[in-house]
Amino acid sequence: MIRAILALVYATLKHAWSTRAIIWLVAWAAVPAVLLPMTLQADRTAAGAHGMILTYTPIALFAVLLVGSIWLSAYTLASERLHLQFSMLRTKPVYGAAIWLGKWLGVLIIIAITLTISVALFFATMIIRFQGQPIATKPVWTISPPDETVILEQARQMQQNMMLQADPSDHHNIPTLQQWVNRLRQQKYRVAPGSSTSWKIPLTLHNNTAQAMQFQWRLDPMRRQPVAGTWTLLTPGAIEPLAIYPVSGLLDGTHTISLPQHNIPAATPYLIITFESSPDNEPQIFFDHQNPVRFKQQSGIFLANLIRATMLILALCAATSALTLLFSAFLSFPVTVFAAHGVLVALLVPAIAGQDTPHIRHSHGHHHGHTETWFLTHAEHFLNALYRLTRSLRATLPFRRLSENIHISFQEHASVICILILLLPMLCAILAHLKIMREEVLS
Amino acid sequence: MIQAIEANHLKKTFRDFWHRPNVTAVKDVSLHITQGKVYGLLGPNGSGKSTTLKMLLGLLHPTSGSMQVLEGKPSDYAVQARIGYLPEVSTMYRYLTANETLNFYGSLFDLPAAIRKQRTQDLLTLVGLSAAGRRPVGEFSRGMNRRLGLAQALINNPDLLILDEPTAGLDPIGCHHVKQLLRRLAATGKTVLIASHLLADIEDICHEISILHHGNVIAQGPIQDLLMNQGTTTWTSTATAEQQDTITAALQDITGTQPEVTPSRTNLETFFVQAVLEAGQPEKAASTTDEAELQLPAFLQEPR
Repeated sequence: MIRAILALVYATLKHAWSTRAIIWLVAWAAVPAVLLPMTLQADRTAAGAHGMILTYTPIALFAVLLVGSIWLSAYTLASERLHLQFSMLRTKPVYGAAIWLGKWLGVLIIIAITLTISVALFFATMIIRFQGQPIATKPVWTISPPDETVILEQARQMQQNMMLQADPSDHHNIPTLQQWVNRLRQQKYRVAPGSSTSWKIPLTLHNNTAQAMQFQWRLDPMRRQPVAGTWTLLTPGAIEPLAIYPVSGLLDGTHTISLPQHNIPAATPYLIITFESSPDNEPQIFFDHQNPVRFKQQSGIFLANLIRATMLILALCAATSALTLLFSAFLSFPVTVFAAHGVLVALLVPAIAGQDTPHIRHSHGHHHGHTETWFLTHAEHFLNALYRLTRSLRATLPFRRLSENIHISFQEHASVICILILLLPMLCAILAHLKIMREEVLS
Repeated sequence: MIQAIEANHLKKTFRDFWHRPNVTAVKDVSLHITQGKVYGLLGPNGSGKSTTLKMLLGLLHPTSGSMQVLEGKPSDYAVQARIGYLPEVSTMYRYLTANETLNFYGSLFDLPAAIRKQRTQDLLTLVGLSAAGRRPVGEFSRGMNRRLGLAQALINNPDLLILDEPTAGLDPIGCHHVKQLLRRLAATGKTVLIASHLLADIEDICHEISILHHGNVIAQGPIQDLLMNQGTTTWTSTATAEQQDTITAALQDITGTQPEVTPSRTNLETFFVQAVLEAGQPEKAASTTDEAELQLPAFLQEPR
């Protein structure tokens, strides 16, 4: 039976090659893999070019491959029915499940080849575009979060002072404690045009490990114009700054500056970092309270993460292909394509959009008859199962983790991967086998 | 006598989308085909030939009736492994080469790679396509497709060959060659079931036939019996013109009637084959027309 499966895999591959389907699929996947990393620019409001590229490119690849999986799978079986090769296969001593499996493996190999080529192109393009810059980073030096108790104590004191000074009839006009806290925070992290602010950054790791500086701010919404300024890095006690980085034309969001190699003395306990807002700026700048400035270094897990993300995408395409091939065992070519796209949209759109389908609560109405109650209960169970499946798929999609450089762990996804690449295809193969063996070949 | 096919009162009714009976393609067909015979299934279009073949292949389930193919059910894998099938229209993958096609079908029968390779070469030589082994099937003419189809039907050294219009689209030489081949295969003990419109071909090679009409068998039996012209006897002799007159006179004396004397003639197919081959490849002419010279590959002469 292995020989028959391998023969069917070969025939599927040759079919894809002879119809140029594999070439077109690779071309379609290569376009976003190369063009998006080359052309996408940080729009100064999003999380930087890296994040955008690492989000949009894999999603574009995923979309191309999903649609490719559906069409290839539907066509590989449907065209054989149309051209009667399927009836010929049925006269040979081959299990229906083996026919299904041969087709599925063939499609899977085509998708794997396409994915490998496009991910390799994507990686190469990233390396070329961001030559010498960190593609994916992790924080190494961060500012300690503000001491909330100190701020609260200061706010309480300022409120009490005002209450003492103010007329008792005006006490209702005095800001609340929370408003004082917010005001203090704003003062600490607000930079008016022409003024500056400084932080001490403890150097917890080796001094030369930082390769990028990331800062996060928002602008006064009433006067939202691009701003300019200068970052200065100073070691304690030094007169000359370690480095000066002018920036300009920035709006709200997270911004990254690549740092050249700098020589920080080995025993330096902290750095003083100062931002001086240009006097020509229109708006005030409000730095993020939690993470105004972070120093980051190249993350070694990027390539490993990309490979794991690729494997997850392949598993999802494998499942899509399995379902489509199952549909094509029961349905005609156009209906198969339509049904597969329908299922895909139903499952993946909420998952990609990141909006959970609302969980359906059980209704226990007293006005329903027995049959109606049974139906409603089972319908609810089905919809809840669909909801859980959508959540699982969303958890499996690797795009956010890839763009934010969060470790993609196979252990976390093991159960979903097993379902997608083993159990689901096995179930589909069994169902397809039963259908193929019972089916009458009329033409 | 071992029966290769034993079908009794087969009936097949097709149903529409709502499962209502629509058309009864086969009403009552019984076939008893002995192993080692060449059996012809004749009938006009829509008589139920293809439906009967598909039931025997397990592609359609009979509405009623019973059948045994090679002493088993047609859908059994063990039975399917012993059947070679050539459909009416080419169903081979257009994008595979002839070598790949035979290799593919050999793999479906779970043949090891070395055996597939050997049989591919043997069969392509047998059907006259050894020079076209690397060409895609999509480039083949209809006749070449039929030849390759016949080769794929033989790749598993079948005990039963089911052929739907095996000579359709073949030139007279190809037809002649296929008929020779089928006769030789039957001589090695293989059973051949042929459905065809070409009556001359059936007459040439079949031992027994069934004629179907509107899903029923209207004539069945050994072809010699069915074609026997009652009350008339034909003698064949080689005689000079003088001897012929003497024989005619003697016959007239005995029977009291004037005998009809017809000079011996060959049929058009034999004449055509001989003429074409002598014009093109004189050295091959004799061997092609001489059945004894057709060499089957060794594996087809051996029992499975």
